[in-house]
Amino acid sequence: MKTTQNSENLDRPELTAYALGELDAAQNAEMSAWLEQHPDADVELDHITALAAALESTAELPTYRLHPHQRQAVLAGPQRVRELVAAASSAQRAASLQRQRLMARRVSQFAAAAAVTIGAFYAGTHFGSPSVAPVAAVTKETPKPIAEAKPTPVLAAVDKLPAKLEPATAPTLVSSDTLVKPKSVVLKPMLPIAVAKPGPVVTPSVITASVPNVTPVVAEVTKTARGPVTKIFSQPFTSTSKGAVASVSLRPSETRPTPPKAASPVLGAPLPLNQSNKPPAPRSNKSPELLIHAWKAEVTACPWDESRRLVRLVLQVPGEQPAASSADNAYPLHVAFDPNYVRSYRLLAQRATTPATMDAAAVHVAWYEVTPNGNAIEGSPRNLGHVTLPGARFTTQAMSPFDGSSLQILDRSAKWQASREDFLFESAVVGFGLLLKGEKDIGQLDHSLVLSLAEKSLTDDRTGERAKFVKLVKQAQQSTGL
Amino acid sequence: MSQFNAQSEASALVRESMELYESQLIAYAATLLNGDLERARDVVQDTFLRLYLAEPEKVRENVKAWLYTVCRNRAFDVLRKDIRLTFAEDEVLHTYSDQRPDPSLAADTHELYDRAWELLESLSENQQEVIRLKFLHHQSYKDIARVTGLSIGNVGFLMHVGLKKLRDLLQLELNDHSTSPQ
Repeated sequence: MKTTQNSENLDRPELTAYALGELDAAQNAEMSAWLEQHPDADVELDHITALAAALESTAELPTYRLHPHQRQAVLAGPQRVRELVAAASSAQRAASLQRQRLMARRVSQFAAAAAVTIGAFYAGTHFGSPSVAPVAAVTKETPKPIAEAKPTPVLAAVDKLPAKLEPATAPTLVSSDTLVKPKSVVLKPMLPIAVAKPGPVVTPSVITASVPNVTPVVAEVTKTARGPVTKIFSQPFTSTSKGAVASVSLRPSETRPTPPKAASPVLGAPLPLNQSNKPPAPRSNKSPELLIHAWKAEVTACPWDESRRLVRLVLQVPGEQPAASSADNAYPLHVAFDPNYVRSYRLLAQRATTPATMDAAAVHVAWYEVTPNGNAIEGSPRNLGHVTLPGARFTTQAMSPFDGSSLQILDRSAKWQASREDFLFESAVVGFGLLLKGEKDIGQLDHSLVLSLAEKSLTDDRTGERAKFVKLVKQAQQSTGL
Repeated sequence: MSQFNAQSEASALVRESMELYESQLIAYAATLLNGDLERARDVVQDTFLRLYLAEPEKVRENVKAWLYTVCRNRAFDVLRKDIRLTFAEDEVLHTYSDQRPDPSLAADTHELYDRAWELLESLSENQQEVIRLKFLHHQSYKDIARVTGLSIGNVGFLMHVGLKKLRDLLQLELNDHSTSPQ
C-alpha cells in the first residue's frame, strides 16, 4: 500500500519539470524541499534526468535550406509584400467596381420592368383595349428613358471599366496560391548577423585580464544577458622566484548597470553615459578613485589536486560611481604571492557580475591556483600573499581610509569539503571551464569531480541555475563518454 | 522615413531569423507534414514572408516562438487542404511503427537511448510534439505553450506522461533483449 502511495506521489509532472529546469525559483525551492522529504524520489529524478540527457545528446536535426529561389523570394520580401499589397488593393478596387456594375444592372432591369408596366398602363388607358403593337412600341423606346434615369452615374462608371477585369487576388498570404513564385532578383550579399536571443537587456561585458609583466589585454567583448560572465584562462604556472606580481585589471565601467532608457530616444544623438545633456566635462588625466564596498580572500585545498591551494578573491564594487563613467578607467588588482610559502601560481578564471539595479553592487571574482612550497607549519595559518588595489577606497567609513595593502591572503588549511555552497559551485564552474579548454596539469579534475562539487551546492539553488549547470555537465560527460 | 526604417528593421529581422531558424523550422514543418520536405520548405518560406507583415517591436522579443507558431499553423492549413495525402502518409507511418526494433540495436541501455527518438513515434501526437519542441528545438515550456496553444500545465503534463511512456517502452525493449535467446 505504501509502495503504491509512494509511486503515486512520485508520478508528478512537477518532478519532470524540475528535472528539466522548467520551474521558477519559488517552485524550485518547493520541489527541493519536497525531494528532501522524499529521498525515494531521487531514483525517479535520476531516471528522468538520464532520459532527458539521452534525448538531448542524441537529438540530431539534419540541416535543411530553402531552395535558392525561395531564399531569393524571402530576401526580396519587402518588394514582394508591396506587390501583394498592391495586388490586394487593385483586387479590392475591381471587386468594388464589379459590385457597382451588378447593382446598376439590377437597377436597370427593375427600371425596365417598371417602364414596361407603366407603358402598358398608359396604352391601356389611352387606347381603351389591350393591343400588342402599342406595347411593343413602348418597349422599343424603354432603353432611352432608362438610360437617362437615376442610375446614370453608375452606368457612366461602368462604361469606364476596363474591358477585362482581373480576377480578385487573395489579400493575405494565407492561401497556398500566394506562396511566392520565383523571381529574378539580384541578391545582395548576406550581412553577418549577430546572434541575438530574446531576453533581458543586453549588456556588454568585457573581461580584461593580464598575466604578470604583461600589458593588460582586452580578452574579448561578449554581448550577453545580464548576469555573471566567467572567463577561464589557460595559463602556465608562474614561479614566485621571479618576484612577479599577478595582476588583474578591474574596469568598473564593464559592470556598470544599464541605465534606464530615455523616454524618447533621439536617433543619432546618443546621450552621454551620465545621462545628462550637459556637455561633457573636460577630461582629467587622473582617474577618479574606485569605490569598493568590501573584499575578501578565501583559500581552500584544491579539489582536483590536494597538494595545491585554491584562492578566490571577491570584490564588491558599487555599480554606479564616478569610476564607472569612463571605459578608460582601469584599476589593477595586484596579487603578490609570498615566495616563502608559494612556489608557483596561475590565474584560473575571472568573473564579473553586473548588478541588476543601479544602486546594487557588481561582484568581481578572480580565481588562482597556488602551489605551496612546503614551508608551512602544519596547523598554523600562513600568509600566502597580499592584495593591493591602487587608487581605490572603501565606501564604508568604518574601514576608511583605504589601506592598499590590507588584504592578506590567509591560508588556514581549510578543506574544500568544508567550503560554503557558493564556493563549491563556483569552483565546479571553474573546473568545468578548465576541462572545456583542455587545460593541462589539472590533477584529478574530470566531469565526475565537477558534478560532485556542483551537486553539493544544490540545496541553495534559488534561481535554478545550479541544477541547470549539473544537467549541462551530465550531458557533456555523456557526450564525451567519460 | 519611419516607414523606411520599419522596412529595413523588418528585413534585418527576417535575415537574422533565416540565419538562425531556417533549418530548424523546415525540420519542424516536415515533421508536421509527415516528412514532406518540399511542402515544409513552402511553409517555411511563407512563414518568413509573414514576418515582414508583423511589427518588429512586438515580434523581436520572442521571434523564435512566433516563427514556430506561424509555421505550425501554416502546416496545419496545408494538411487540412490535403486530407487524402495525410491519410496515405499516416498509413506509411503506422506500417513503420509496427516494425519490430532491430535486436542488435538493443545491446545495452546506452544504445537503447539511441532508439528513444524512434520509439517516440509510438506516443500520441501531442506528446511527440512537446518532446520534439523541447529536446530538438530547445523550447521552454512557456514557448511550447505559446506555439501549440496549450496551457503551460498541459505542456508539463504531456511532457511528463510522454517521457514516462518512453521510459516504459525503453524498459520493455531492454527486458525483451535480456530474455531473448542469445
